Parts: sequence; C-alpha cells; structure tokens
Amino acid sequence: MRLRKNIRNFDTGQLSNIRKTYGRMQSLMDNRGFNHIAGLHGIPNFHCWHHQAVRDVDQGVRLFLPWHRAYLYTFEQFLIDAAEDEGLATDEIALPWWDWRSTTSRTEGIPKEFGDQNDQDGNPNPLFSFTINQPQSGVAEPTERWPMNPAGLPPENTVEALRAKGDFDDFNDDLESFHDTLHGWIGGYLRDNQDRPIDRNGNLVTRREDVVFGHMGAVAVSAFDPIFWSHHAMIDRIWRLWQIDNGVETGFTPSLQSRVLEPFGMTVADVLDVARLDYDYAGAENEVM
Amino acid sequence: MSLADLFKLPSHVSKRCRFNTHVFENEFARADLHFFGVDHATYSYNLHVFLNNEDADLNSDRTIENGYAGVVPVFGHGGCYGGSGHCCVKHMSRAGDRRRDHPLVKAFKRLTITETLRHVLSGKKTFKVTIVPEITGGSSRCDAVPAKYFDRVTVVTYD
Repeated sequence: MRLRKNIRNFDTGQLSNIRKTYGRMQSLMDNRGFNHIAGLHGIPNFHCWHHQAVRDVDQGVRLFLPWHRAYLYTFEQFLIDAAEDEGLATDEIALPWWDWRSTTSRTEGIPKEFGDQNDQDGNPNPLFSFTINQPQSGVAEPTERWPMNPAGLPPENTVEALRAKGDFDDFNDDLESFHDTLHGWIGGYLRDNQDRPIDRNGNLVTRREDVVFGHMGAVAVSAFDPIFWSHHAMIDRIWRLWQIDNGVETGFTPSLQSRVLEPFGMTVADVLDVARLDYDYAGAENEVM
Repeated sequence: MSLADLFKLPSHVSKRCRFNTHVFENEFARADLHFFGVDHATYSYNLHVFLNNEDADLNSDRTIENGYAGVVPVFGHGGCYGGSGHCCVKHMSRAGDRRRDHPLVKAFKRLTITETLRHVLSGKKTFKVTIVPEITGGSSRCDAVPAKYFDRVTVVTYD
C-alpha cells in the first residue's frame, strides 16, 4: 500500500526524490506529462467538478470529492512512471500532502518545500513553479503565487470539526468551502507591504484589470501550480478520515456511484475506497532497518 | 488603494423577512441560507453574510453580535480562455444529447446560519440579510465582476 505523507516530515532524500520526480514529469510535453494532466482541470480541458451543478437540478450532485480523488490517483500513477524513468525506487513515491491548518502553517505559511525558489543543489525547485504551455488557450507563463497572511489559514481544529459532521452533504459543503478559501489564499495577488495591489514594475494598481492574481485563485489555471496537488491531497485525506468514521459509501446512492468520472475511465464507486486504489495517508514513513 | 477599494462592490440587502409564529419563538433546530444560480465563471470571491446589519461592509466586525453569519467562498473559473461563445452556458436540452452539462452552469451553495439567526431574532420578529461580496482571486481573463453573484437566496429552517 502506497502511503501519502506530510511534506513537512520528508527527510532530505525523500524531498530530493519527489522534486526529481516532479521535474521529470514537468519535462514531458506528451500526455504523460505535468502540462497535459494539469490541463484536464480547467484549460484546455474543463473536466473538473466543483460546486453543485447538474441539469435542471439546482441542488445538484456532489462530485467534487470523487472527481478530485480520481484526478489525484491518475496524476500519482504518472508520477510513479516518471520516478521509474528517473531510475528512482518507486515504493516511496506518492503525492505529498500539505497540512494547511497546522500550527506551523498558521505561523510560517506555505512550507519551504514549495516556497523555496531553488532546491538544495541550487537548481530551480519543481515544487515552486511550473511554466504553463497551452498555446490553444493562449497561455505560456510560469505559475506564480503570493500567499496571504498565515493567520488567515483555517483553524487548527478544522479537521476535527469536519470529522464531527454526521451528514455527508454538510461535510462536503464545508470541506469544499475550506478548499475554495485555500485556493484564494494560496494564489493571493501581487502587492506591497501594505497589501495594496501593485504591478510588475512596483507601481500601485488603479484599475481592476491590472491586478496580478496568483494562479491558484482561478479554476482554469490552478492545477498548473505544483502546490495544487498537495492542497488537494489534504482535502482527499480529510475525506478519507471522515470515511473511517462514517463508511466509504456514505453520501453516494447507487445511481451516483455509477456515474463516470471523465476523463479517467473510473466511476464514483471505483474511487470510494482508497484501499481499492492501493494508497492511504500517513504522517511520515522512514526506513529504520 | 487596497484590493477591497479597487473592487468596491455593492452589497445585496434583502427585503425584511417575516416567518411564521413558531420561528419567532426560535423553535427551529437549524437554519440555512440557500443560494441558487451562483455565478462562478470569472473571479473567485467570498459572500459575507450579515443578519440585521444593513450597513455591514468588509470592515465590519465578523462577530455574532454584529450579525455575522459566515462566508460562502466561491472558486471562480477565472474568465474565458476560449473562442467566441466558449463560455456561454448551454443547457443541452436537445433530445438525445447525453453530454455532461456545461461546467459553468450556475451553482448551488448553502450556509448554515442557525446561531446568528437565533441571536438576531431574540426579541424581534423579522430580520434582513445583507450580503457583502469580496474578490479573492482571478486571472488576466477576468473582464468583469459578475453582474449578479446569484439568482436568488432563500432561508430554510428545520424543526
């Protein structure tokens, strides 16, 4: 069983390996690469499920969690392929998760594993940014982020409070709200030390269209920021914890379970139990012998 | 100029809501606001909800004493990256069209407001809802803030 671990607990070797693996995946411009997989979320392919919307039913269906679980699973499989191609041992290669409500995050903000521009060897850090190459959408630019004040991150009891929700719809809606808030928080906007928006020349912005927002703040381009995957691994982890308390199928009728999660070729039923997908979540994992 | 000043957006203030008698007595176990037709095509934004505080704005204290009931965050698409008509929502009502709905079909959101509603109803028989928008994200493709953030809002109580 593959274990997804908290990135703050990675040792030097683990961090080096996951960075090399992301770097390898980012170098591939075919359908195994980061550019292609990230492009399934918003641009050029808009497959993601957010909010609740379905034809003629305002209250809709809640496919936010299963769709993103299938998405992360697919990304992770290509990540493992990339690790293999890089000649790395693949047993430990798994999506890292970022605990955005921890005391450390609420003090320091985004972990340095994502925030450092360069890795330990002085090379560009693949977890810091990725250069989007989507000519059909007219986008060729590096991802950027200007995270907001760490005190604005969700409170430390968030996971416990969410796990206490007995009703799946309540749980899903509240978790999705935290998810939405985090996207805006991580992306932020280019600003001065008084939080006033500035342009790339450092001039104060006076027109709305000149505000420079981070990529995580928009559905269309958020998945190109490497931290997207670890933010969503945290969301998926919280759902996994809720499922331990409430059962894996809770919230999904047979009809919902049969829905296909495009473009992954999996149904909702296929992704409800992480054991069937052969992964789980842990804080850390280190070899002792 | 702060981001909030740059995106100074009008608040939405409801008409005065009047409930049946047993709600006046706060006999509901739970109360929700239901937001129908939520626009998520362009900017990401928050909808801050205040009860019985018509003058609320982004600087108002977010406390129950001030009528603050919570926030509805909306993760917006970030504007249109396609050709003309790409982001025009079609409902695909043709017979035999089995495609998934357009992903920008307007959404449904809800916010539980039980404690704040109980607080503002104590000693009163009616209340108003004030919704204060706040832009939180976007992209270079966002050409305008939504003309309407939502189509309608209802308050739902449960015994």
